[in-house]
Amino acid sequence: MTGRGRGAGLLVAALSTGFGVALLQLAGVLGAVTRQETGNGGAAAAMLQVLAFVFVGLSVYCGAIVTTNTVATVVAGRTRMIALRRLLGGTARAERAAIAREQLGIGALGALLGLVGGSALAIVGYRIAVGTGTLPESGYSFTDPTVLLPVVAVPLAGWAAAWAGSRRVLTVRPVQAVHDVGEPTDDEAGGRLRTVLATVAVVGGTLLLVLGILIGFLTPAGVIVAFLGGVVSFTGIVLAAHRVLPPALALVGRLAGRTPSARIAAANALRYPVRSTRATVGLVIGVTLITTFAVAITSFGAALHHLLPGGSGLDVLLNGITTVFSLLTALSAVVAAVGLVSTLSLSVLQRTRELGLLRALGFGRRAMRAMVVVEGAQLVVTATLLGLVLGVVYGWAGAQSLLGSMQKGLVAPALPWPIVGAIVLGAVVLTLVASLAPAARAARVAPVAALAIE
Amino acid sequence: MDSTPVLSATGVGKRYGAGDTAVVALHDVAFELHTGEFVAVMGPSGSGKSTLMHLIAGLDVPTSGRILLDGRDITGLGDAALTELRRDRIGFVFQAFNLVPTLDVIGNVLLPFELRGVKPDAEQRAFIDRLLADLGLADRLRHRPGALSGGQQQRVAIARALAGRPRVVVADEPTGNLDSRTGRDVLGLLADAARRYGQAIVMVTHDPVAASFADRIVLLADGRVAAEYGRSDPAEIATFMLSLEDAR
Repeated sequence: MTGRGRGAGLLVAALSTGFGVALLQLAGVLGAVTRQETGNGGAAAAMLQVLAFVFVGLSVYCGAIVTTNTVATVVAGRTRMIALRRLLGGTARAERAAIAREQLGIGALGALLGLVGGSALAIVGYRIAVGTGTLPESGYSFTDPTVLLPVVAVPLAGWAAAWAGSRRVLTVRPVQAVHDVGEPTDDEAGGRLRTVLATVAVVGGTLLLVLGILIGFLTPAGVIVAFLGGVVSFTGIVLAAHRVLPPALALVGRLAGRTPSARIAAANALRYPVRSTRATVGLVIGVTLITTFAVAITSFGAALHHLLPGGSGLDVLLNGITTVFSLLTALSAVVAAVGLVSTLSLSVLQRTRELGLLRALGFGRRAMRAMVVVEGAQLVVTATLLGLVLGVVYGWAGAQSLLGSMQKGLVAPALPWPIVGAIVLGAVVLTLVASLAPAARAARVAPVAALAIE
Repeated sequence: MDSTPVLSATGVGKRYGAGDTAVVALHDVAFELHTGEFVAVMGPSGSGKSTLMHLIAGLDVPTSGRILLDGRDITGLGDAALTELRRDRIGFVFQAFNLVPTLDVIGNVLLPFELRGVKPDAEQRAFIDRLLADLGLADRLRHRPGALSGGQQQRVAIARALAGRPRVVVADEPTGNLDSRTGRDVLGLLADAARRYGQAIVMVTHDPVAASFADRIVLLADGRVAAEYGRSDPAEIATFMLSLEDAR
């Protein structure tokens, strides 16, 4: 794998493990504090435990999806090298196995870093909270074996994700080492089976989500069923992304204006639907995740305040959740950004000849830069809109299934406007930051690159 | 020279697409290659020489005819069998060298063994050492391709192609990216490999100078074998090529 792919893989593994570990450590602390304060475990501590596992599951899932995407992007970027190895006699299966094995190693290293980092973060956070009087002293030792769960789960999920993400190796033909035959067509990239699977997952997952909400009226454990439903239906959406996203991208692209740079940037989404989809999916995942948590926590907090006015354990609980939530927001934003930066860079690297042609035809450096920025903006805007809508639905479903039994009715979906604002602002910053280096590189492409044989 | 050919193609045709849009790249081509023979396949663009090379190398399958490698029919093989065939019996040299930039010289040369999942035995290792010495690479084993000149990179590619003692080496415009003096060196090395190690080599080229190093020249035009000649000098070969243009 390239250095870039390895770095991203390591970062994703470290972040999702670190998050999971920090979360379980904090849940442990808060559980100990709550027991100490209220004298018994209580419903709040149990709920926190359930919530912690759901969040850990989410972060492992999110890491796996991002890894699948990263691996797919890396494989796309090194089609020629894989074709060469295939031509010299490497089997497609062996090539895939090597990629998956490498990811397992990277994942294991990342998980260890995450274990250390996450625990350190939790300990430091706790010491600060004790120092400022936010939390009381408790006997929690930070050595609960439960925290090893993400350390084991993340590398295994990464290994499976890399296997799934390297499916494209099968479409690389050995003759591509000799002649450039271009990107595979959409038909090769997503077969009918994929569409069927995606439909089954979306429908089945949505049904599970509804079932989770219904169970939620009886017990908070409904959130586990709803969580499964969310994971399954979102996986379906990610699988069907190659059908859903290109039209959405084209629509957003039309809003970018009619200058040549904007038109070419917008047309790219339709010309390379597979690559655009790969780039956008990572962001959709990030925004969906952030929004899901924001809506879930806000709804959860509002409902809980309503239920238990002035409860002593409540503020402790909400403080903890807010801390965890802020962490997650920051971490998943970083993961999404890493994905976008690498995709945009690869997109420019792979199109050197085409960009050279544009320069030869009379595009100035400024127009080249504008084109890359518009392409990035198109991806970010589409992903943000889709992620916000999905996140509100999932977040509300999560809060409803967790609280339905206590609320004895429907929880209103609370929209956290400051966070929505932060997401939009973050999207603008992300677009600019992610397109900076690729835009500069595109502007540097010489017109003669159009004539070069690779 | 061996009487039974290492490679023989009879009645080979290749058609791309179907119906009205079908393009026929090769018609009824016959071709033979013997041990120790260095053959150049020449022809203008679109003559079918690249297609013929792909079929011989197991990169593509013909739509008609048969290709025998060591007497075994390779035309009906699936992807896995063709992969194994390329790995164990074919060596490749390309115009663009196609070395792995992250591997050093010895890593590139041993790559086919790595893909096979085996280590070269003592005899193979001795052959590779001799090869690297003959190609003037013995003191560059730890260099990365980026630190080598074009001619040196092509020598590494030749070492990689010869290392596993394949039945056939396929060279696709091996001098296309080299200056003429370096190109001659590389051609001399290929001709040497045919003579010294009995290596069968088929080279696709449109350069009369390159073809003048070959024992035999097969001229393709419009997907058919137009003519065959024995060893010839560059001026003669250029005349053959021009007469082909006139005949059209």
